Amino acid sequence: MSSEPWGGNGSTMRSVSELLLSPTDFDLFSESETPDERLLEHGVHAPVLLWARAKDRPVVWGWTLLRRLSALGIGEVATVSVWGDGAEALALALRAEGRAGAYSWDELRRIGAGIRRLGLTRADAQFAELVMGRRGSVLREVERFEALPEVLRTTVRDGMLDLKTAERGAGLRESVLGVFVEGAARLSFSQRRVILGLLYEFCVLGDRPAGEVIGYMRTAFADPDPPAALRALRFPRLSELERRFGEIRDRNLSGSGVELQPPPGFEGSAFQVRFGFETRAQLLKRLEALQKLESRCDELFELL
Amino acid sequence: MSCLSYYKSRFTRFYAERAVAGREAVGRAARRLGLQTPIVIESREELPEEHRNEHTLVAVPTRGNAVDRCPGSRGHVCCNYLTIDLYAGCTLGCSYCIMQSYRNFAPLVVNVETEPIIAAVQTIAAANPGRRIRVGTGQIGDSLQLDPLFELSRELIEAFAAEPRVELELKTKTDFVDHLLNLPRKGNAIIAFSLNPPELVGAEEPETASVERRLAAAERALEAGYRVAFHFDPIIRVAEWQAWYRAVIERLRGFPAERIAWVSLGTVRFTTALRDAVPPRAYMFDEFVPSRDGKLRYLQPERVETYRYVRRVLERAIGRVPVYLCMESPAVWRRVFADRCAFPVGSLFAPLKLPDAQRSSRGPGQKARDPRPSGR
Repeated sequence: MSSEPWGGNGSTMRSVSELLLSPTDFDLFSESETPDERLLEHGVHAPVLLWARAKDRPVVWGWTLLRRLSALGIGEVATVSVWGDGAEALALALRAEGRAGAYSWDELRRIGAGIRRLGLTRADAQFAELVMGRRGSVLREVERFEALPEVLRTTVRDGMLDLKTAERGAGLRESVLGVFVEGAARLSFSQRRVILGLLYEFCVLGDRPAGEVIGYMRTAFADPDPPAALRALRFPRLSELERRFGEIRDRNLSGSGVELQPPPGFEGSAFQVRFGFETRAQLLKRLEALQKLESRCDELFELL
Repeated sequence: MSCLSYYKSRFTRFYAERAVAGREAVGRAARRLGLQTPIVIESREELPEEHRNEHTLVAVPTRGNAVDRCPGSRGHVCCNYLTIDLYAGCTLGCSYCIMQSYRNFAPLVVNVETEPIIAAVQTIAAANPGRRIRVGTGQIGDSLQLDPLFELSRELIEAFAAEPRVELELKTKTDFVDHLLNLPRKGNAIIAFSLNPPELVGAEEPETASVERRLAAAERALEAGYRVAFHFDPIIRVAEWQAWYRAVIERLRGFPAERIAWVSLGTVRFTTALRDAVPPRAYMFDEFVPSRDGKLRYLQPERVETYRYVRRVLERAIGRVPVYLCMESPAVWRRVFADRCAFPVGSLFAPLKLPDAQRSSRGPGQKARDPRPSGR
């Protein structure tokens, strides 16, 4: 940072309309928050930042504010000149904006384009905390987003999927993705993640025809629990074990007050039973049910 | 694969740490690679970044424990196998190789200092009177891929020849056995071959010798006086698995059962980290469940079915030979060997006493549990 980044001379009033004609290299934020209209009318707002080192003194931060003031018919605005180099000017703009981790994807793309336009690609990493609220590379993040098929970019932009999950779907056929997006709107964020992961596995698993995968999806979306329905299609043999187990349990223990659990994933050799009782009659009922189960337990052991 | 031309095309740089640069095995390997001497370095950390790849060989001295326990797998039956890290790393390119997810040093590392290894095995043998000591060099590398260059296995075979309780196993997916055939004293060395159906070898083990060549090598080893072993691991349940495995097992028909030291079986298993680290393979997206050690394995009934089938076909082809399961749960052992235990587990599954120097942090995967069938 230079010794006098703020110019050291306080603010200066300038014409809003003239500032709106200045170079737009730093016009990066489309969703900036601006103060309430009454406050703006009384001049209560942060000053617009100008980059003193550049010839045309471009607006570094305050574009949204300027447009708002212009729309309200306010002719002048307080400005402060800043001196640093391009990286410092951009860092100041990001600090003034103060929305690390909350930028929209359109804004991220504009910030990425701004980094390139200002020749700051080598300094990319130093903006990561200010832009994303974490370490990393702003440009890489934008590249990953831009590499997605349009349909997935839209889902990420709309907050329906995170970038990493969307990338798993990038190899899926557009027809598959189309049906996914159509049905995904009704699901929770985590359900969408599960479903897209399963779709990815379907496709990697056996290069399934798109029509078959679409059929799976439609079946799942018609179910009250789409991730569970799709999981059953993805893991038919495990699902069959679960189904057979449920059938044996219900046939022998239904209404008895005895809970029966298989080992996780049917991996191991021990089933578990659990029950409580308050009276002799209840105990007798549980024991009779267990005795009934014992006489047919070979069916259970066949599942392991 | 023709050994020496293979090496010259495969390995373009040979480094040796100063402590071992003058050893005979290093000079031998350098000459066979067409070099006068290796590049001498103080430590492998000095290797330039651009040479840290699988075209580079590095000869090093023994560091840490010369002999260690097979790390086994938590919650799974341990067979008290001992491991020697003679050759670390491998370029055979098997798609399922777990080393892809954890090995962080790409060059192939060769421990050319065999004296501490020999001494350690002899100490273990002395500390366990009457016990068989099964020890192998194929844990983190192929036992024989680089052996014609360095001939380190010869040093071990000759050293252990006087101790019949030591069963040194050299496990490979190559057919590089010829340099070992004429050794006058072979002791209880066993040359072991990993086997898979040719279709899977072609698809998943791209740089290995064909099944035909491996079996031809096994025959040569047998004729030279070695016992042999076979490892069907990993067994991959593709759609045609039964026919494919039956066909490859049929090819063992000519091998006399009494000369087969053992056959191990293991179905494919891997961590999600491995699956994420390698290019997608269809077989890795079959139906798997997490086991107690965190690895994904086929559903238990399918593993049991697989082992029973392979064991039955093996018995028809070559008769009764010792069969064991690698990294399997006690539940699976009991189900597979419900009739009898083919492997003499009683003596093997009691832990070996390791002298202090060999008691490493990698203890056995779990306390050895006797997997023999219990009544139900």
